Amino acid sequence: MPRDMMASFELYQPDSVDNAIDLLGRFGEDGWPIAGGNDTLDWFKDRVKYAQYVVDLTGIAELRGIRETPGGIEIGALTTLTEIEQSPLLQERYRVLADAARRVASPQIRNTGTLGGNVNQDTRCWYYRYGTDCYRAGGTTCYADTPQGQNREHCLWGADRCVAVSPSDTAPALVALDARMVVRNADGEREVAAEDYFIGPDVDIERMTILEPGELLTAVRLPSEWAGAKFYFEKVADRNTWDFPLVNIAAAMFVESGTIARIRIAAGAVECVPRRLTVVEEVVTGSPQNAETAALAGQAAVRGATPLNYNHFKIPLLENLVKRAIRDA
Amino acid sequence: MYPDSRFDKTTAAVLGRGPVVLESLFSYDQSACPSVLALQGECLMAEDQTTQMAVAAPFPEPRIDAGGILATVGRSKASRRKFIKGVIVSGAAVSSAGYVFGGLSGCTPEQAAPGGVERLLSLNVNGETRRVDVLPNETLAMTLRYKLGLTGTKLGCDRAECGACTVLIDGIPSYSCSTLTHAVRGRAITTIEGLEGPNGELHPVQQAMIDELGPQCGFCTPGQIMTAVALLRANPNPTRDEARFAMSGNLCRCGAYDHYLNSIMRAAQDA
Amino acid sequence: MALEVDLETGKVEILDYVGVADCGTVFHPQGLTQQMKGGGVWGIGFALFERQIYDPQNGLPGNTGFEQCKSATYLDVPSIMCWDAVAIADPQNPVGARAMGEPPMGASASAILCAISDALGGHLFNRTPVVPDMIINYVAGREQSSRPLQIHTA
Repeated sequence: MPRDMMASFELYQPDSVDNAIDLLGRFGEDGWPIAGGNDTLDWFKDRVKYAQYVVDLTGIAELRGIRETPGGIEIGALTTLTEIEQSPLLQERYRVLADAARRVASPQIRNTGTLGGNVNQDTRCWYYRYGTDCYRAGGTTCYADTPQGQNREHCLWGADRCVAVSPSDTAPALVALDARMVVRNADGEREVAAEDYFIGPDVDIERMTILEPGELLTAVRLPSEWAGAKFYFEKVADRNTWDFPLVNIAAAMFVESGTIARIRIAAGAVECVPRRLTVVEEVVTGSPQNAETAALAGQAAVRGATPLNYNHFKIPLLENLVKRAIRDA
Repeated sequence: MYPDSRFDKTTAAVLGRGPVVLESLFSYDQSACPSVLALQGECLMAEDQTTQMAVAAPFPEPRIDAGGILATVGRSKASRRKFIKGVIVSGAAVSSAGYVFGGLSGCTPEQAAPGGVERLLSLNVNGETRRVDVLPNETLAMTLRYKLGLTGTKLGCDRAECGACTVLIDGIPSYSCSTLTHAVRGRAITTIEGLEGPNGELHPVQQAMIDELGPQCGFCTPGQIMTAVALLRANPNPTRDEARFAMSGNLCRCGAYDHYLNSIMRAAQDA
Repeated sequence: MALEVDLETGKVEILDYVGVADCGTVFHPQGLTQQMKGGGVWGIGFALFERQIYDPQNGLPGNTGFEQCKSATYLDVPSIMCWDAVAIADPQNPVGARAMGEPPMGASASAILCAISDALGGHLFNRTPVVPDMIINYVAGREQSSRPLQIHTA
């Protein structure tokens, strides 16, 4: 695999979303939107993926910023993770998202990396990144799901030819907050629930989100329904900085006189999409917030998990994290 | 290895039409992007200082046979310099519009006409305005090191993983290896060379690094210093833990983390 | 070396590091400090992070960047590390000195491995690095994914 200067491309710097959509619409499959570039440029440098036309979004002011709206808060897709981490508004009302952003990679990456980039980043399956001709890359093999495949970081659920997982830290937080993703294309704007925004290999093996070529994620809307809830976010990774999760967990819950009244909880890096743990939600709603409920929730969370050769540790890990989320939130 | 047809293409591109799509100086993989035409040779003929520096891009393996290209371009005769001047002029016209994307005429993929960005741009580096010839696929680290001669910024992993290339963009530490130069047009870039005081004295962080013997091998030190400078500007009296968190995007393979933290705490104290 | 093992997440946090060197006459204390602490950081990396994996079937290297072969960062090592030297001159060396480049690495790595084993109450793992999944599997009573001495796999 050659590793040196990127292959050439043409660079466009639109100043408005309309222009960006127009460009991406024209370029179709050959176009590639770039924001922080931390993921994109790796692909180009490794020469595993190419783009003929790169559309640099960083000059589009309307994509930045955290705004209050009547229904909650709207975060522009180009808002950096540092801005999210340090936003007093988010820290006060949606702390789980600020906490998740704080655990993404390293300070420099958070300074340039955007919320849109973090949720749209490609999977970290090392076979796929290495440039193998796997299913996700358009081939006919999964190298990770073989008897000797090194699949410690891969999935417990949702395997369908591909066993890669979602690497994002903010995505489970957005699912837990019931966020709405605002997607724009030439035909206009539509709002998609965060849960439906991410797709597994059974829907489309070559993409991780519903974004089609020519579409942009322009904003994320956080509904006021979950503002000020009790939150929990934890990420377990090998290192304490610049690392992808082995498992991460995000929860939002309202506790009324010791009883869990409402809860949304999601885990990352156990499936190709951030996995909303609806079973846990059902088990704990109406139960007291205590160690016993937490233990039940942990057991419920891992039901049906199908481990690969090297990743069965994720089962007790997820169980423990769910337990902690319920107990300590 | 580099068939003549490629140079014919170059020649045709230069002579045949005004605007040409420019290919990376460093690129060798034509198959990756077959529709793009090459323009390596042109810069070699330029007398303009900026473009001469562009040629100086010292990549470990010279992908192109400079002599061969020169000869080829020489055969295609005349007006290389004029051509480059033409680009400069149009560059000025477009850059006056800043980021504005002015209409789509001539930019459709079918026509594969000039790229959206102009190659020549003004960068604000260490308080100076530097005119520089930048390729669309060039990272800030490449521009700083190989075009502007600011080799204090190091390239470690080139994958936004190690932090050796950290520079300040509008005062915010960023990995310059993973930032496109075109994306920082109009923003203030500070490199390790820009920390020097008016009389050549060292920045307090640099001085503290010396006093505390911060580095071992020193390769990651420019990046460490840039991150520390940004930290101390934002938070002049950090706790050791705050400093540790802020510095966590910089790797040190010698493991001199403890000494770096001592240096930063000392710089904060002395300042 | 003092460390804390989180039994629920398998994470190891190093609380304290003291390195003492039998390095003969000390010529440059500041330089020796660097070696002692830097070697300690390497040992932490060896013991806890730096997995070198290959796909045995296809011979593909799994660590092609710092993202996969993880060296220790600021947040993985103790904020303050301590050192000392015995400072007894080496009789076999004309200036009484000994080389101090590498010894701290192996020493700190083995100290960490012993401390983890000790914390979990057994003689465990027999390999480096000890990553969270091995600790989680041990605590949960599950079989380990890889065997002792079976290297270059997860």
